[in-house]
Order: sequence, then structure tokens, then C-alpha cells
Amino acid sequence: MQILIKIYQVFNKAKHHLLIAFFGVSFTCKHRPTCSQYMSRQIEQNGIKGFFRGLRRILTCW
Amino acid sequence: MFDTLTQFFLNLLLSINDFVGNLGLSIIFLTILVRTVLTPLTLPSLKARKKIKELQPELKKLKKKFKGKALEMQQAQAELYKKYNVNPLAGCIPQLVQIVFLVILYRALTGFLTEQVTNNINTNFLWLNVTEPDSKYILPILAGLAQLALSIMIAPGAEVEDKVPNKSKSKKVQKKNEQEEDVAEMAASMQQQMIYILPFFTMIIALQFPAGLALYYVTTTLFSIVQQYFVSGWGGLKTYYLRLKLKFRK
Repeated sequence: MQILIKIYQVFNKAKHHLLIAFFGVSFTCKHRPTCSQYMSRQIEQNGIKGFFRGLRRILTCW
Repeated sequence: MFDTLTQFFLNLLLSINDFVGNLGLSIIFLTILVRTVLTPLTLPSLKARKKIKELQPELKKLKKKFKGKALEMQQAQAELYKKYNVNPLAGCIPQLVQIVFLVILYRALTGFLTEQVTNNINTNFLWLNVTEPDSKYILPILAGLAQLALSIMIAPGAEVEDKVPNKSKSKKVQKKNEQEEDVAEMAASMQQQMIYILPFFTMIIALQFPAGLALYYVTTTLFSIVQQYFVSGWGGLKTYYLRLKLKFRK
């Protein structure tokens, strides 16, 4: 899971540019630390419980 | 839901094709149609992005003022945005919606370009057969170039990642923070390189796909470039142009 998040973060820019190419706009995460950073740290500290906390965070990210 | 939407776009393509009578042109029309419908949604966000870019100096000042106080920084930032009437449309969920939409379009297009559907339709467009990969490599190269131009235009993005403040007393935590910074830095430099890597990948991927898909990609990217130009000018492209000009003068 952690590796997945790292991959996501590295390719974040590529995804950003790709979405702009397709839609003219790309939405970025509004939280700081970002949802992926938060998720990564939560999993590190609280395991599976942290994963659900991360999910809850993503659901608030409109 | 997923299949219904795919089917909807497929039918849309077919009816455009009935009207236009050429597969390549239909794909271009579909692209322009989709993007025009989406414009009212994308334009406010584009404008907000531009405004945020203009507010960067102010934001930097705030960052200095609230160094290490993330919560207060966030509040001050929100106030600044409010003052200048910026509404940064943001979030991970809209992003997910975008990606789902992309997959639906992809499925509709690949479904459209199969033999059953295009059985009795003329699949030639200019030098292309839209159901097969471009044998003359023109379209993939165009796709790569368009992607590169767009990437450079939006290059100095408004989203600058904050570093983790390294203030912890315990050595262990400090070391961990340093590691985190290293990773963040590596990610940042890789992201910088993405500007050049992504167009390259685009080209290679466009080589494998049916030309119709590449055609869609080129059209939609060009649409984005035009949109971007009208909102915030040439952006990074201008800098690159000036740099090149200087180099040639030497």
C-alpha cells in the first residue's frame, strides 16, 4: 500500500498534465498535508485503522 | 451506469457519423462537442488557477510570517483567497470523476473502432485508417509535441509543495523528517522531468493505439492549448521561446 502511494505521488504531475490535456483543467487536492501524505502517515502509525481514516479524509476532499 | 454511459457516447459517435459521414471527422467533432460542453465547468477553475498564480508573492509573504504554523497558515491563505474572490475548485473526488470519465470515453472510442461497428463505414481519414495504428508516425509525433507544448505552458504550477518543518526535538524524529524531505525532493525532481518524459510516453502509447484514439488525443490537447492561451497567455512557452532565441543569437 505504501509503495502504491509513493508511485501515485511520483506520477502525480504526469496525471495532472494528462488531465489538463484531456479536460483543460485538473483538480488538485485541497488538503495540506495532501490526502496521499495523510493516508501514508496514517497507515504507518495506525495500520488498517489508519487506512479507513485516510479514506474518510479523501471523502471530504471536494 | 458505467456501461450505459459508454453506450451513450458510442451512440453519440454513431449519430455524428451518420451526419458527417467520415469517422475521423466524427471523432474530431465529438472531441470539440465534449470540450465545449465542459467549458463552463473548466473555465472558472482555470481562472482561479491564474489568480492563484498572481497571488504567489503574497502567499510567499504569508508563508514566511506563519512559518511552522500550518493551521494558521491555512486560515490566512483562505482569508487571502476570500479577499481576492478566488475560489480554488479543488479536491480528490472531482479528480476521480475525471478519471472515470476518461475511462468511459476510452471504452466508447475503442468500442467504436472495432470491426463490428465500423463494418460498413469508410474508415479512411486523410492518410489514416482510423482503426489501425498510424503507419506514418505523424499522429503520434503530433500528440507528443502537443503534450510537450501544453506541459511547458502550464509548467510553473501554482501548487508548490510545502516542506515538512524540521523542528522536532528528538533525533529520531528529526532523522525521519530528513528522510521524508529527501524523498520529497526526489519526487519533485522526477516531477520536473515528467514534463519531458510524459510527451515521450504519449508518443509511444499513441503508436500502439488505433489512430482514432490518437486523433482524439491530439484534438483535445489542442483544444486545451487554445483554452489555456485565452485564459493565461503563452505561459512557460514564452520563456522557452526567449531562451531559444538567445541561444541562437550567440
